[in-house]
Amino acid sequence: MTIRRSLLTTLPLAALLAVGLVACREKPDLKFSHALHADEAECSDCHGDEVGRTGMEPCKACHEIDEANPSEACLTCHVRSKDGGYAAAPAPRGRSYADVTFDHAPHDGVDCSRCHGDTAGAEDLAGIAFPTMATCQACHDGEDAPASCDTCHARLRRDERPPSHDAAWDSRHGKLTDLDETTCAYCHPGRSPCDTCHRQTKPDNHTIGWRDRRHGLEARQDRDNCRACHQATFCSGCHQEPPRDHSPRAGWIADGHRVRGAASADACKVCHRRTDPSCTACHPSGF
Amino acid sequence: MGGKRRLSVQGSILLLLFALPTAAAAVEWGGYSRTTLRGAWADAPSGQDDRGAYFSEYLSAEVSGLPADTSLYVSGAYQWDLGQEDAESTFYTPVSRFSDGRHLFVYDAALSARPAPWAELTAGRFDWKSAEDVHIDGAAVSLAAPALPFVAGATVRGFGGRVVRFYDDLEESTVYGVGVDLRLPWDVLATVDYLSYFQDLTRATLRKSFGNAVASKASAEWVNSDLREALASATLWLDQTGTEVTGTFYKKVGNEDYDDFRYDYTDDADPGRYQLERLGIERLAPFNQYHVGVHQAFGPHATASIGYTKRDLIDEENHESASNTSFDVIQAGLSLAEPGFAGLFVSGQVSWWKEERLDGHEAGSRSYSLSAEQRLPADVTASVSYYWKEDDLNNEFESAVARSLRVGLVYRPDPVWDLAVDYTHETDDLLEELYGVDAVQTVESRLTVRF
Repeated sequence: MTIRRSLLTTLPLAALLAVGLVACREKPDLKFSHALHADEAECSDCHGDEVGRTGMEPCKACHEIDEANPSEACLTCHVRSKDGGYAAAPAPRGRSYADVTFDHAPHDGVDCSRCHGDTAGAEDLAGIAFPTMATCQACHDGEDAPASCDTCHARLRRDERPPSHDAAWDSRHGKLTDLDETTCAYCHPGRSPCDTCHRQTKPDNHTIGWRDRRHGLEARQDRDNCRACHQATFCSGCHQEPPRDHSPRAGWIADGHRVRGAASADACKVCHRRTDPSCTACHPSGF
Repeated sequence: MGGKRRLSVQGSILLLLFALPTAAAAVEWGGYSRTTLRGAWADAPSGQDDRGAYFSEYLSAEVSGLPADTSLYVSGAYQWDLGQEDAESTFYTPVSRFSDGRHLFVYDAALSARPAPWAELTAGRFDWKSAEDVHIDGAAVSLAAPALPFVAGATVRGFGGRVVRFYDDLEESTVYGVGVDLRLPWDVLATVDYLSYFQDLTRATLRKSFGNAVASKASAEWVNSDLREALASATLWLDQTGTEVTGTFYKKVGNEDYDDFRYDYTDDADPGRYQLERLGIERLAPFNQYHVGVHQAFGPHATASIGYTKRDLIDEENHESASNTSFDVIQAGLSLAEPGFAGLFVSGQVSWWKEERLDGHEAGSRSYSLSAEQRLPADVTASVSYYWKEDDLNNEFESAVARSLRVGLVYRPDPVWDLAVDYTHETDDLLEELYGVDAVQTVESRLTVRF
């Protein structure tokens, strides 16, 4: 039963993921194959000195293209658009280049494959290899080439708040699908860059009344939030001691625990078991 | 005995760390220090503390480039609750629970060696990522396996030790586990971890990125071979529009043996502690949780974010309680970076949480935060922030409001060090109810040095 129930839950999720992955895959509206052209042309033959996206001009050197009268011949490179025409929008390139001021010109003598890998062997545009920051740093190490932030970035600086760290960053960054710790480490030092904040800087909502009651309200929303900073034993460290509203003891036993317990017995169960001797002394059948 | 043995291991590592031949050309030092001094006062009734102070020295250091590609790293904090006289004081900090209100917390004291390109060994006190992250005194090994059919690369990991407890030492809690990372066809990264700590815990994760535009992840966790949770998540980045979208689906599978385990489990492990430490009480009820977040840049100077999280408790009639409810959370934020003034950063965020219960009761909270930061001449940055939260729990207590105003200055002459000073003024209805304190004022200084 357990296995069947697990499968019933897991299989739809796996199917959902598979559909999601297929749906998310980049589908450029061009089907250009670098591999098909690699033996016949150098990179610069099409990309010229400007590099980057070429437009159709270089294609015209070999392909007969009549832009004024689109025909099925366009489908040699283009794909069918939703309206039955010929799609031409480029594929999204992604987040990494939003702040990059890279210029190909100073890198004129560098072999293309050093940054773009095996793009010459790519069968489609989705297979193009774009460099990462690590690719740049292979040369820009501060000795062979400058490594300061402004060499490549328009706004990002090591000692300034980056645009991503906006008002909602504290609550948002943990929900990103995969936060790259190596990126964090550029500005947040330490072996584990997360620790720079998560061990030392308390969030805004940890006000002076946080410990006494508010943290329980937040924790029930998502306990994993707490785990970002606190080891799980941090909870039991306090919860094994009587809360401060259990004092004075006589008042708590006589009246206080009845009021609080009526409001939320679950709060009691955080520390007390149903058969806890401190409860069964007065409540033989447990609470 | 156990404590003495642990101290001995940590002491040996520390001794080794500071006895290293620093003149060796390949050896590199690095570290981070933060010294915090805080003073606070309040208009407390007679018989209660009306002032408190706190000192903390956090230190993190690493030596790398040792023989066999070995690194040594330590981190820890010496915390001292100064002048604390009343255990039930408003100014209580967890360190007050130690004798004299002071304690040295050793977070890490470990060495990590790579004797061969395919092997990495770690020993001492350290964090280790497994089915759940663990903080242990123990050892771990990672071995890279050669390429296999359909597997472009594989890493096998194993670890074992004793769970680190900073605040108590009631149980011997040994933990061990194994894991494997696989690079599958189409650049799919698969991770499977098994962890043994009271019960068997297994977590499997698949990750796949599509260029720089999409990151996706799916994971599942089993406790004693029963599926307990599953997650699917994806984040999409679009340069053309400056948009980032994250969607997540999280499913928690309930534990039908929950009550039996909770009330009748009388083996060596205390069930209450177990629940707190491993699974969390709330997480035992089955629910589906959905999250979608959008982050939008409007040119180089403005960004907006909005996130919506919804939890649907399954079978509410049987599982709803004060701690287990369905709820909705909306969070939105707006930031302006240098909007016409060089060095000015302004942001605001609102968060709204609401839960509804079968019995008709509602509860919720609203919180708001505003902050501004301005770079000034002479390497000084000034900041001010205001946080305001209302908890509206009309089925339990009265509404409670918390307010916090903070004004700060940071002096950062170079990247190596900075000095920050904050003044904070906080009020809280709950504090007034419990201690008769209207407001607490705090001055805190932090000296940070990077070396």
